[in-house]
Amino acid sequence: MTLYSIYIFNRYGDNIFYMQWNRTSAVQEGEASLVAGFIYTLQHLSLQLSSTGTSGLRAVQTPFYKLHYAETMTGYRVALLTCRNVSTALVQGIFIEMFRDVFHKTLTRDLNYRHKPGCMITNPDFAEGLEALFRSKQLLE
Amino acid sequence: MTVHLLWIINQSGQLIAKSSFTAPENIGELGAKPDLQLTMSSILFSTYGMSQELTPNANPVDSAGMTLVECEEHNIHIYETPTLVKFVLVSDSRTRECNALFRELHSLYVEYVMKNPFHIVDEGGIGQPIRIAAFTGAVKRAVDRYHAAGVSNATRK
Repeated sequence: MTLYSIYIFNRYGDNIFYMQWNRTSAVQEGEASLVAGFIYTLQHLSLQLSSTGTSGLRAVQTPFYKLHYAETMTGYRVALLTCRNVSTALVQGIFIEMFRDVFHKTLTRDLNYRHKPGCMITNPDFAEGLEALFRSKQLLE
Repeated sequence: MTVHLLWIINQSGQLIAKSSFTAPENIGELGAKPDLQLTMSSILFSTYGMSQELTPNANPVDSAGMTLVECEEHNIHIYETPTLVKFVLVSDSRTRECNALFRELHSLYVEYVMKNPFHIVDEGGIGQPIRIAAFTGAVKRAVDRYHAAGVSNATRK
């Protein structure tokens, strides 16, 4: 299984975290904004199809990659780009662990982190915890 | 194995056909407000282009757009023909792929729409809706056969 990149956005749409792994193409200018618009649009479409009004986007499959998506109640959004054969259910489970464990331990408890516009994730423990989680799930080696 | 909705979107992003196969409440607001489908189909067209741009590690010439959008309640399946007409099917979330149905719908499109001498494809740059009763009927029958096949498969398991 191959990981390409991860984006995390806060409720204001700021790209507060980016990391890449097996990626050989250059990061395009404005790419984070394009990802933010992309996931926002598909999430909105999904909610409009929903009979409960709350069922959201899980993943987008293309012939070359797969984008996995999750959103917290507080408005944090994560988009993970992987190769096409990574299971949606596996990544949804990883997202739950990421927010419950890694995010909570390294950011919610970080006195320097604020839930406000423009505040980036700068705690290196978050990136380390995230990679450790991905390695434990065999997404990284 | 249920298909709720079919959209056909032309190469300019215009909705030229839509058919519902189940009750409107199965597709939420898009069922309650059918006019919304015109807007949302063009938005889906735009996101299709975005998904091509976001392809990591690929030669841009090789980029291909999204084929499946997985939501909690629905899956949105997308099939693009070589002439850039897009067939979109909204199904329940358990339907993993619709490739055979797409090929059948594409055949019906060629047979009933493209071969119809009275169907205007594009008038002054504006795509024309498909108003061919035989095509609509054929699409309904194809989806009904698909649903029936799904039921018999489920029964067999």
